[in-house]
This record gives sequence, structure tokens and C-alpha cells, in this order.
Amino acid sequence: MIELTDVTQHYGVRPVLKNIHLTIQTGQLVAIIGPNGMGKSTLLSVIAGVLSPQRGTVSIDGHKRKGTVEDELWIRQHAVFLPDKPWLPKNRTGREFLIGVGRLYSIDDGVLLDHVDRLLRVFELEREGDWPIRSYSAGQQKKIALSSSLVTRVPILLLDEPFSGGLDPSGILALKRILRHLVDQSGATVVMTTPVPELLEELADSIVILREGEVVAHETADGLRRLVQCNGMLDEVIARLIHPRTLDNLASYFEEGV
Amino acid sequence: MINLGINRWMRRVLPRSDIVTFAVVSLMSIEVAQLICIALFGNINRDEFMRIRTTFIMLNALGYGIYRIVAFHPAANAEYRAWLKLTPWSAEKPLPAGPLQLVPQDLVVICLLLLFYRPASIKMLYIPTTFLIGYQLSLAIYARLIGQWALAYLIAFGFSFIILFWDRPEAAFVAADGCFIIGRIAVSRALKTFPWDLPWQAELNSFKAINEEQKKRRLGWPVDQLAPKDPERMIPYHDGICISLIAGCWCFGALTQLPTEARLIPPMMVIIGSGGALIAVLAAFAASHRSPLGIIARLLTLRWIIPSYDEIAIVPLVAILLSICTQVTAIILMAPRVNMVGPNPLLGMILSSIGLSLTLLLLLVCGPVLERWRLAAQHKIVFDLATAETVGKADQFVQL
Repeated sequence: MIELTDVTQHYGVRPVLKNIHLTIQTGQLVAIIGPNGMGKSTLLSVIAGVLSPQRGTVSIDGHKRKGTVEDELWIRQHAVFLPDKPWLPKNRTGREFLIGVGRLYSIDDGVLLDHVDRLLRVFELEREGDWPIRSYSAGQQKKIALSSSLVTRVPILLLDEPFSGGLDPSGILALKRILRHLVDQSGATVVMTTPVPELLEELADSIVILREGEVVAHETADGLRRLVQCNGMLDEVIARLIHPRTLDNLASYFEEGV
Repeated sequence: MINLGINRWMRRVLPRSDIVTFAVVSLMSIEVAQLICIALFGNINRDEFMRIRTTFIMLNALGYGIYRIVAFHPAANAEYRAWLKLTPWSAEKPLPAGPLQLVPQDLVVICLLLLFYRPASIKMLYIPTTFLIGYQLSLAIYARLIGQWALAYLIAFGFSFIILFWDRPEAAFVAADGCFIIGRIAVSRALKTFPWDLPWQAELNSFKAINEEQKKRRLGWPVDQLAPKDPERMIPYHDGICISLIAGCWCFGALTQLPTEARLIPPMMVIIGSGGALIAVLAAFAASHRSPLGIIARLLTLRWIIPSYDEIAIVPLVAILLSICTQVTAIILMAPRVNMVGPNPLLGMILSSIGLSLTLLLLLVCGPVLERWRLAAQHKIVFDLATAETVGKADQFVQL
């Protein structure tokens, strides 16, 4: 279970996250959604330990993030973070990179080599896997970055915008199926951010709506519909929560046009 | 036939023939230059020639001492070590590539070097002493590498006496012999414990290869920063303590040997070095782990001090303050006055040495441990292009 208690994060003097209280149950796929610049990546970075909040705490399965060396090591052994713009070693092949990451997480070599093969195959990088990463397209780099998180076999995945960055339809499909499989079959916990709601209906167990640094709602898709009393598409429901005036503005736009 | 036998006997320890030729030619060239000067100008400055000749001979002796370890110690050569592991070799048998312990051939080499030394005097003892310094220093480094840290630092500590007695060649030679006895014990124990568990750097034979391997091991952002790694001390406590104490002893020995007016240089160097250490320590900690709040934000939010982050500055600052206090006082005590002697030079030398030891002790032993601090302190982990360029990584990574 991931627990955020009273988390407040400033960039300089500008507050980005304000008194966030959030609990994410183990074995769930949770999506954080919100407008640009409202703190989605910041929230994930705080959970990932990249940022230290000015106030509040993050704990994962009872281990406080950056609490003690032992707690932090435990968390690092059980959680992996993938930012939206990672830096990849451009002179190493994709296969070498994945093997290097797997070894850092103490994965047995026999298991690791097989898993790397399967990951390269599922993301259609079998041939490119032995090329230097610098020769990859943006989408292929995204696939190898995602594979680097999956190869760790940790039970908690923190993914910042995993479906963006040039991922092709087959990559999106593969990632959706893998994440769902990890959650359903292995009891993994996945927390991801996304600026667009299209994927969430079929993928997310619950959705965290973030607006102006505050959690507006943390519900299932149906829970969100009940909350706004709207049975429409999820993107419309989310729009009502994030941009309450968007639909009114649209209506007035068309009226004036007529 | 006898020549061939002697050649074969000497070749067990001698470097390649081109290196030997270069050493002999360099020594002979000084003799030739002296003869030419005498022929051309008649009267020459013999002291100057003697100084140059002595320097050359000592450099040769030092180089030969280093070579005897670097060329024959299995810890110094990864390929040799790997091959030796596959053979039925044991410590009772001679090393296949040549002896690591000193042998009569080494005495022959030193005696040949002594032949170049003129006029004969007690100062000739500097030649074997210099050879032993090169031999023992290299041996101490490899002894530390294979885990014989107590013996390694004992040899290094013995060097303090060589420095302390440097103006008395016979005493310096005796001190070097003392180190040699410890070195002999170190070598025989080392060979008995072969094969050794060496760090990965020792498996590579050049700095370039080590650098390339280090580059290969980097996996980019955020893997390098967030992967679970063993939070070991970069410098173990016993190393930090021994290095600090030995540096102080060497400093004291060096100060006693320096002319009065030159004694002020080491304390000044210690102060400058402490300043450099302050920058180095802060850079090592803060390069990719920045303060969670910038200076302006700290001022505006009234959070002037973030203890968990700011603790990195405490030890270096105390160290530099201590360094300035002790070394400035030492300079005052040692500074030449009208009679060319400071008020209490001995006290100044002791204070300067203790100051250096304590400064190093603070920097190496006290303060937060880098890897542990990176895990548990309040900081902001960064890897932007500016950071990448600063640490020379920009050419290795590509940002998605």
C-alpha cells in the first residue's frame, strides 16, 4: 500500500502539491490524471523519492520514503520509477541496457536473459535489441525504457506518462496487456500519470484527479460518474471534474456561432 | 658460456633490454657531458654534475624498485593472475614470471648503480634507500589492494622514519630496511592467500580500460540514481584513520627536513588543500542530489536550514576552519624571525602535522556517508543536461 500523508511540495515558493492525502491499495492500477502543469509528474516524483516534499510523508508498505537507509533500500528494491523523459545510455545496445538494469536489481542471470528476450519480442525490438540505443527512433527508445522498468520484476511500478512518447499502436496494446497482467496475475501495484483519459476506462482500477495541486477525486470510473452525476464517456466525466467550465464554454461557443 | 649464464641469471629480474639500454645510456651521457665540459672549459662545477648524476641514479633506483613490484606482482597484472589461477602453482613454489621477493640479482643491479656514484661517501646509501622506497611503496599499494591493510599501512608508517632521518643516510637506510622486513612478511602472506578477491578495477590493466568500464556500467537516469545499491562507505573507517595518521607523520618528517624558510610552504598547502577538499566533498554530494529548496526559496519560506541536507557542509566547514587555525598558528610558530628561527619551530611542526591529521580524519571518517546520505536525506535528485555535461556524461546518454 502506498500512503501519502499531508504532502506539500513547492517549486521555489510556488506550491505545486497542497496537502495531498492519498492511499493506493496494493494490487491496483491507479492513474493520476489532470491538466498540464497541475502536479501529476511532481506527485509521481514525490512517490518515487526523486523529490523530497517540504511537508508530509510517503510510505510504501509501512516503509517511510527516505526515512531510514534500510527503509529506503527496501523501497528501492520493491519499486521502480520511469520518468517521462529518461536518459538512456546511447552507446549500449538495448539488450545490454536491459541486462545491466536487471543485474542492478539482482535478477538471476538465467531468468533475466530469458525475460529480456521476451520483452524485446513483445515490443518488436528483436532485431534492434542488438543495435546501439542511439540508432533507435523515439518510439523504440520509449519501448526500451518501459522494458527497463519491467525487467526489474519489482511489484510496484511508478510510470510517468508511459503511453506517450511515440509509442505505436502495437506498443500501446502490449503495454496495456502487460500492465493489466501484472496487476491481475502478480498482484503488482501500478501508479501512472496520463494527460489523456481515453485509455483509463479499460485499464485503471481507480483514477486520481488532480487539479491545482489538490486531489479532487480518487474513485473508480463508475465512482467518478456517480460523483458528477453523469453517465457519459469517461473523458466527459473527467472534464467536468478538472475543467468544470469547459462544457459550458463549449455550449456557449456553439450557441453564439449559430 | 659464462656470459650466457650471467645473462640468463640476470634476466630473471631485469627489465626489457631496451629499457636497460636507455638507463645505461642516460647515466653514461652524464659522464660524457662532464668529460666534454672538462675538455672544453677546463674548470667545471663538479658539485652541479654530482647533483645531476645523483638525481639520475636515484631515479633509476626508484624506477627499478617500482618495476620489481609492478612487473612481478600477480596483483598488478590481471592476465598473469588469471593464468596463475589455472596452474597448480602454490606459495611454496617460485612465481613463474619471476621472483617478487628481493634476490641477489637485485643487489647486483644496485651495486652497478653505485658504481656511477662518485665520490664515494656515506651518501651512497641513498641509492639502496631510494630503491627500497620504490619497491616498498608499490608493495604497500598492492598489499592494500589484496586486503592486507594493516601491513600496508605499517609499511607506509615506516616511511615516516625514512623521511624523518633523510638527512642521515645511514639512519634512513636502516628505516628502509625496517620497512623491508615488514614488506617481506606482507609478500609471503600475500602469496599464501592467493587467489585474492580483488575489486573489479584490478581486473583491468589500464586507466583507460577502467574508465571505459565505468562508462559501460552507467545506465542513465533514473536507473543509476534510484536502483538499490549497497550503501557502503567509499573509504572504510580503518583506511581513513590510517591515511590521516600517516599523512601527519609524513608531514612532520618532511617539515623537519625542510630548510627553515621553506617550512611555511606545507602549512599553506594544507590550507589550500582543505579548501579544495571542501569544494570536492560538496560537489560529490550535491552533483546530482540538490537541495529541496533553493536559497531564495529558503529565505522567503523562512526555512533557512534544512538539517538533513545541510549536514553535508558541516564537516568540510569544520575541517577547513580547523585547518586554518592549526596551520596559521603553526606558521606563526615556525616563521623565521631576525635570528632565522621562529619562536617555537618544533611546536609549530607538531601542530601543523596534528592539524593535517585531524583535518583528514574529519574529511575521511566523519560526516555523512555518501551512499547512505543519498538514500535517506531530504534532497532533490536531478539529472539534467547541465549536470550531465558537468560530470562529463552528456556524450554517453540520450534523452527520450
